[in-house]
Amino acid sequence: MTDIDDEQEILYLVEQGAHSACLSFLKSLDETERRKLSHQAIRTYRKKDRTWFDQLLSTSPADRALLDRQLECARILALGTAAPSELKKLGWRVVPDGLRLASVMRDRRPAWIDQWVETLIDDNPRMYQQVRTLMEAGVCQKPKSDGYIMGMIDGLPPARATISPMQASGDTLAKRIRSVPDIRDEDIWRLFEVEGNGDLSLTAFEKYVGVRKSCSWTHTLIELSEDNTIGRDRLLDASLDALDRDFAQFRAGWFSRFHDALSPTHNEMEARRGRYLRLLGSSIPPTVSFALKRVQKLAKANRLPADELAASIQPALQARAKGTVKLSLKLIAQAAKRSPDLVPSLCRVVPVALIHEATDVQHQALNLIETLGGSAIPEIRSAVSEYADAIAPSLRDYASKIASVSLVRHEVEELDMAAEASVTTIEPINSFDELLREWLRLLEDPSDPLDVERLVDGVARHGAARSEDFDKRIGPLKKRAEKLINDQTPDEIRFQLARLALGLTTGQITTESERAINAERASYFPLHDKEQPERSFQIVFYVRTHYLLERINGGFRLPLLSAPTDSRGFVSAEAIIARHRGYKAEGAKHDIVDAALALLRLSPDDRSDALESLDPQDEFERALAFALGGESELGKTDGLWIAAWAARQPYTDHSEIKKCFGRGLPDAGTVARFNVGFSEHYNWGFPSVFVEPKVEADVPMSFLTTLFHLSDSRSLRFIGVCGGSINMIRWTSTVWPLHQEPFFANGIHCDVTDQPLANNPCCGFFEPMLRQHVDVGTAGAGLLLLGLASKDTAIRSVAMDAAIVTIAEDRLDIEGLRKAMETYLPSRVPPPRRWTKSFSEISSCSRKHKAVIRDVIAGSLRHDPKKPARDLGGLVELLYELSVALDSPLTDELAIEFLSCVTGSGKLARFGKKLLAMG
Amino acid sequence: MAAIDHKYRYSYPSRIETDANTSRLHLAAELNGDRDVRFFEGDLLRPSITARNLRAISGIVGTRFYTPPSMVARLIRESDPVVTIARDQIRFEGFSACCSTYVRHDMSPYSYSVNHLSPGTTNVDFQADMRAALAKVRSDTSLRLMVDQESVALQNDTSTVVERKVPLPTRWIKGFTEVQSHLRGMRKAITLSKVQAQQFLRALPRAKADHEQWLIKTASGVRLSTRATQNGVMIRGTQRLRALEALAVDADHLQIWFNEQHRSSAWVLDYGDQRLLLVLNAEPWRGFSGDGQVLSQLVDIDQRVLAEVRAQLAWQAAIDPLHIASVTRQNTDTVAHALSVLAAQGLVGFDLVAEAYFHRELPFDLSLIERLNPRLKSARALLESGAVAIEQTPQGHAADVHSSGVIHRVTVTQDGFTCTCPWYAKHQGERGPCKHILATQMRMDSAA
Repeated sequence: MTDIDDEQEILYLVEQGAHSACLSFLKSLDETERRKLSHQAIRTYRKKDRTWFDQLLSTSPADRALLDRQLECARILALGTAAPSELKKLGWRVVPDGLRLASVMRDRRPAWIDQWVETLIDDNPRMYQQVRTLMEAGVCQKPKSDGYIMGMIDGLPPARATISPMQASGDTLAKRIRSVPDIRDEDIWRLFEVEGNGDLSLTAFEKYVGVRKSCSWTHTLIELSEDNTIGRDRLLDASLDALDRDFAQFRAGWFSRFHDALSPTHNEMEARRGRYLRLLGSSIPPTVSFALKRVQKLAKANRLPADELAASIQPALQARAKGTVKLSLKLIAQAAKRSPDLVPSLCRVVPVALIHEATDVQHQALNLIETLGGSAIPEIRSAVSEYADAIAPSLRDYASKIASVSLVRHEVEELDMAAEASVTTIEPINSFDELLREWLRLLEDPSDPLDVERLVDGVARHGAARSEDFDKRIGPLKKRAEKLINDQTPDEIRFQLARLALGLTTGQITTESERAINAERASYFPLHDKEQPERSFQIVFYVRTHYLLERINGGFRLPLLSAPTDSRGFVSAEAIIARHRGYKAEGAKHDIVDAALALLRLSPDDRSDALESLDPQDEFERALAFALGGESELGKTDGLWIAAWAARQPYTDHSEIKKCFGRGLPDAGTVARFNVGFSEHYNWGFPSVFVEPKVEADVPMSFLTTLFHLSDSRSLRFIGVCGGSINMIRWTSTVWPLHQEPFFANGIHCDVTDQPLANNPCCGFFEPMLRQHVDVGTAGAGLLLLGLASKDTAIRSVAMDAAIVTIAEDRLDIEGLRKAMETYLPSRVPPPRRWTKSFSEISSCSRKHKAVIRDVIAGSLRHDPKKPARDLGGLVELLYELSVALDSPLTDELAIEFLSCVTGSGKLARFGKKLLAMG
Repeated sequence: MAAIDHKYRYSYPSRIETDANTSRLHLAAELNGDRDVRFFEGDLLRPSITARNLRAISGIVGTRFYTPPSMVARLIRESDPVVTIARDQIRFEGFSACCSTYVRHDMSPYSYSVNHLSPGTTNVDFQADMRAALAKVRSDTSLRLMVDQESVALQNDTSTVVERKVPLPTRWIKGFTEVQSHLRGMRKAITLSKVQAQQFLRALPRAKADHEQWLIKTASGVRLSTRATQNGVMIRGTQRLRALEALAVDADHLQIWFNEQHRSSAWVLDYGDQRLLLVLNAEPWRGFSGDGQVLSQLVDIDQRVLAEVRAQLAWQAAIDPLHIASVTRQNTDTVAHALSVLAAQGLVGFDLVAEAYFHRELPFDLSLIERLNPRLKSARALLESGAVAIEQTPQGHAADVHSSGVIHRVTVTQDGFTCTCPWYAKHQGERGPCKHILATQMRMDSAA
C-alpha cells in the first residue's frame, strides 16, 4: 500500500467505528510502518476528539454511540502508532478502554512502556484501572509514583459503575484485595505513605464516595485484619506512621480516625506509648488532640510513666485549642498525684500554658503550679513572671503571689495611632513626559485615588500638546490601553484610564451614549439592568472624561476644576476661582459634573478670605460664593446648587435648596439621616442601614450627593453605585470628602461580614476612616462594627486600625457604635465571638481604648436576658477583665439589670456575677 | 515553568539509627563524582531544637504557599535542602515550593562538637521518612549528626544508589542567588522577647491573609496594622510564618528585619547557639527568583577582579571584605561589588546577623543562572538585533528600544533608569530592571 492508501485506511477505519478492525490493522504493521502513520492517526484523533466535544449535547443517542465508537477507534490508532513524545503531548485522553489498551500495547511492546505508564498515572491517577489491565496483561511493570496509589484509592473499590473487567457485580473491596496478592501485600501499605491531593485521598474518598461498607477503606482494612489477611499490628503502626508525616489536616484526619476505628487494646496502646507521646508535638492540631486522648486512656489504665509524660507534654500545652491544653494540665495533675517524686519536673513544664489567651486556661495553669508547689521553685517563679504580659488582668495578683514579685503590666499609651496628620499640597503634573510616566504607572496600579485625579488633571493640562514624535512616544501607552480594554479588565478605574488613553491617542472621542456604556459594563456586571438608566460613580467618572476629551480636541489646555489640591482630597477655593477664570479667559466651558465635584471638594479652610476676594459674575461663581457661606441668588442648574449646599452646610437642611431643587431626595437640601438596622428577606437576615428621606424619584446624574443613597432601596441594580472594584470605591470616597457618612452607608449594604475574598473590594469603604479630617458618625460606626466582626481578615484588619485611630482621635461616634452593637447583638449576625476578639485587641492599645470598649459592651446589654445572644459570655468576660484592668466597677444601670437577670452556670452567668460582685 | 532535570543521587536514604546509648542522624550527601566524601560527624548539643528546626526546613521546602490559578497544585516535594559545612558554621537552606519563602538554619560551633569536618556544600536527602524520624528526637536524646556520602551504605553493606530525577525549577536555583541581595539590604526593625513572639505568632489568623499589613511595635509587643508606618515591617501572606509558632517557645527572641526597597522581611529565631532564618518575599505569589535584583550586577562584571576575590574564598563563616581588599589591593567598594556578584553567581551567601557574606558553592550547574535568565536572554537578543538606539538628552541619556511592535523609551537619570514598558510601570524597578533597561545598560557599557 502507498502512504496515501494508508492514510485513507485510517480515516476509513475511524469512520467505520469498528474497534476490532482497528486492532487487526495495527497488528499487521511493524514499528516502522506504524511510525509512518502516526501523523495521520494523531490528526484524525484530534479532529474526532474536538468533534466529540462540540457535539456533546447536540446529537441523538444513536449518533452519539457512533461518535463514541469512532473516537475510541481514533484513540486506538493514535496509541498504536505514536512515538512516546507525541503521546506525552496527547495526554491521558488518548488512552482507550483497558482491554483495548492492553491489546494495542501487547502487540506493540514498546521499550518505553514503563516510563509512559509512570507519566500517565502521575498525570491522571484515575487511569488506575487501565494501568492495572496493562500490568495484569504483563505488558508493564507496576508504577512507582504516588499517582498509582492515589488512583487505587478511587479505582479499586467497587464504588461506582466502572468499565473495569476486574470488578464483577457484587464484588467488594475486601474480595478484590484478597484476590490480588500484590495489592494485598504491597499496595495497601503504601496507602499510609502517600498523602494524596485535594481530589484523591482517603479522607476525600470516604467523605464523598466510599460511604458504603463494601467500598469503604476503613471497613475493608479492619475486616482484612480480623480475618488475618493483613496484620493488625502493622495497620496500627502504619496509621501512626502516616500521622508522623505531617500530611495536611484534612487528609491526616483519616489516619487518626482509622486508628481509633481499630479500637486498640490497652496492651496495644502501651506498646505504642512512645508514638502517641511523640504525636503530641505534631503540627496538626487534631492529631495532637487524637494523641492526647490515647495518652489519657493510658494514664487512666495506669500505664503512663510520669517522667515520659513530663518529657513529652510541652507541645500540647502550647496548643491553640483550649480543650487540648486543659486536658494536658489535667493529665499533669493526675501524674503528679501518682508520682509525687516527679512533681518538680512535671511542674516545670506547666508555665508554658500561660501563653494561652483564655483566662480559665491560665487560671487552671496557675492553680496547678500552686498545687504542685511551684511557687517554691525559683525556676518556675521566674517562668511565671516571664509570662506577665500574657496573663489576664484578673489573674495578675494571683500570678504575682506565685511568682513572689509584682507583675505590673506595661500600660500602653504611646502607640503610633495618629492618622495621616500632615496635609500636603498636590503638585500638578508639569510636562507631557511626566504625564506619560504617570499614566503608564496608574494603568497598572491606580490604588491612590488622588494620583488618579492628578493624572486626569494632567491629561486636561497637557493632553492637547502635540510634539513631532507624539505617535512614537504615545505608542507604549496606546498598546497597553488596547490590551487592557481587550482583556476587559474588571477594575473600573484601569478600564476608564485605558479608555481615556485610547481617546487621546486616537484623537477620537467615543460617542457612545451613557446607555451604551451601561450596556457594555452590564456585560461584566450582569446584575445591572440594561434597560434602565444606570446611575453610578463610574458613569460620573466616564462623563467627566468624555467632556474632557472634547475640550482637548478643541485644543484647550485647561486644568480640571475639581482636581484636589491637598492630600485630604480638598480643592482650595483659591484654586477653583483661578481655574474658573482660566476657563472664562479661554472661552471654554466646564461640564456640570466637574463643576459639582469641584464644589463638593471645596476645602473648609480659608473660606471667608476666598469669599471676600470673589466677585460673582456668573452662575458658577454665585454657586461658589454660596458654598463659601455667602448669600447668592439661586440659579437654574440644580446639580450645581445642591453641590454648593453640600459644601456649605452638609449637616443642616436648607429650605430654599430643598424647595427649588430637592425633589424630596436625601442630601439634596435635606440632610440624609441614617438608622442602622436589620433586614430580613426569605429568612435571610442581614445588617442594613435605612436613610430618611427615602429615594422616591429619579436621581439626575449631577445630584452627586444623592447618588450615594440609591443603594438604600436594596435594589441589586444599585448595590454597586460606588463601584465593584476597590479602586473605584476608593475613588468614590473622594467625591464628598467633607461628609463621608453616605459613602459609609454603602459599605453596610455590601455585606462585609461573611465573605472572605482574596482581594476584598469592601476594604475601600473603611480606608477614609483613617484620614484625620473624617468624622465617623452613625453609618460609619455601624460599618465599623460590622467590619470588626468580618470573616475576611483584610476587612477586619482595616476596621481594627480605623477603630483604634478614631477612638484615639475622638472622631468616632461612640453612641452610634453602642447603638449599632445593641441592634446587631441579639440578631447573632455576625456571631458575637468575632467582636470579642477584635475588642480585646483594640482595648490592649491604651486605657482610653479600654474605657471605650467597656462602655460599648456594657451599653449593648439591653436585650432580653432570658434569651441572651450566643457567645455573649466571651464579651461579658472581656467586660469583666476590662473593669478589673481599669479598676472601675460597672455603673451602667441597664447592664447591671441585664446581668442580674441572667441565670444558669455558664460563662455569661459566671462573669456576670463577678462583675456585679465588683460593686 | 522552566525547569532542569536534576538527578539527586544518594548512596543511601537519610535515616536515624538508634542503639542503646545514642542515636545517629545520617544525612546522605549527594554523590557528585568524588566518592565517599565525609563532610561532617559530630554530636548535637541541643538535639531537639536542631531536629525541630530541620523538620521546619523540610516542611517549608515541601510547602507551596501560593498556587497560581491555572496550575495543578502539585508540590515539589522532591527538592532537597542544601547544607554548607564551613569551618565554624553549619547551615541548612532551602525554599518553599513556590519560592516566595527562604529558610535557613545556622548552627554555630556551640551547638555541636566536631569529630570530623570537611568543608563543602551539598544537597542532602531529606524526604518524608526523614521528617518523620526527626519527630522522634527529644531533648534527652543523644544525637550524632553525620553528613556523608557512603558511610551508611558501607556499614550496611548495601550498594543501592537512591536516585530521584527531579524537574528542578530554575527559579529554585535563581532564588538562592536573588535572596542574598534582599538580605544585604535589610535593617533590623523589631526584636521580640520569647513571650511576645509567641503571642504574636499565635494571634495570626489560620486563614490565608494575603493583604498588605504592617507590623508595628507597641509598648507590649507588636500588632498588625493596614497602614504603612516608617519603622514598621510590611508583610503579606502571614500564613508563611506559621512554621515559627511551634519553634518560638525554645527561642531566646525573635528578630525581624526589613528591606525597605524590596519590601521583603526576615524573621530570625535566635536560640543562642543556633538560629532559624525565614525570609519572606513581599508577596506570597512572588518568587525570589523573578526579582531580578542581581541582573544589573551580572551585566556589569570585571572578570579579573572577580577572579581575584573568588580566589580568597575558603569556606569562611563570615568573609571579611577589608581583609580581602588588603590582600587583593582593591578598594572595599570594589570588593563589596565583587562579593555581590559572587552572591549572584551562587558562590557566597549573606549572614544577616553577622552582617557578612559566607562562602558556599551551590551544588548545581551555576552556569545556568545567567543562561536561563529570561530577561537577560531577551536583553541580549534585543542588543544583537540592533533594537537599541541611544541618544544624548539635556537630562542625560535616553534610548529608544524597538520591542514587540512599539518603541519603548528608556531614560537614564541621576535616580536610575526608567522605561515605558508595562513591567517597569508595574514594578517601578522594585523587581529589577526590565529587558529594555538591561539592553540599554549593555549598550552603554559596550560603548564605554
